Amino acid sequence: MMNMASLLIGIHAALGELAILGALWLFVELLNPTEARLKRARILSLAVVFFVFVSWIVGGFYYVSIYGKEVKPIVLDGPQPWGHEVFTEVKEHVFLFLPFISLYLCALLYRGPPLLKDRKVQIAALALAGLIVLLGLAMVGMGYVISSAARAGLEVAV
Amino acid sequence: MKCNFRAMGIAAVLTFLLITILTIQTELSAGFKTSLAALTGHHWTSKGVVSLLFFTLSTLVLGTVIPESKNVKNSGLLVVAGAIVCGFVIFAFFVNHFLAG
Repeated sequence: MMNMASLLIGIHAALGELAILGALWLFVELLNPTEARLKRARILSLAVVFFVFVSWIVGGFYYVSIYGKEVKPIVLDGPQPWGHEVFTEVKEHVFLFLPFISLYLCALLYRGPPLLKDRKVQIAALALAGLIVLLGLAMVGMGYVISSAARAGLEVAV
Repeated sequence: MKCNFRAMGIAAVLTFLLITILTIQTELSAGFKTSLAALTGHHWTSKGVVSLLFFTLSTLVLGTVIPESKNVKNSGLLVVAGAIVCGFVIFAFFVNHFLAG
């Protein structure tokens, strides 16, 4: 039976990875845009906003209610305290950029100048989608480092 | 609804700067951290709420004072550059903070 912490982390990570996949798919659609590809890109940008915001809420709930009390002390007392002092701190704060980047991209695709007629809009959209992918992957990597530091802390305790 | 992307881009970068400043100040001042926590119960939640409100308000306000630009490429790239620079500042701060003990 899965405990609450594992469930919340799993949902948070899954939603984040769906956001990354959505942004990557959007990026590919905009490399050589057509009306149909632009239509899909717009829907994907909405999906990315949704996944980022819900991942924020779920991850935030886990962080505020469980991580601080149960996981942070283990990491800080373990052999890899930098897991929290660098990677959790960076992750929890840089994550806050993602909602605004995704909102900007979504607004650009829905309300911006016609992308099919203006290459500059295409470049801006590609850069934003690419950034969401890279930041998302950085979040995944940092999450792994933090989980590893917690595991290392537990192993030492045993 | 028309969008002023130049204003929104500047609002996004200002929001990244605000998050960066709040992050660093929280680490350097326990009193500031406590004040932030008093807003919503947790300092990190407060940062999220404050940044959401700030982005929304600044987009609306800047949208009325900054003229729109047809060149959304520059605004979009400004958002990308702002996120990268502020992200790097946050990373460098915490690495330095950890190494300094």
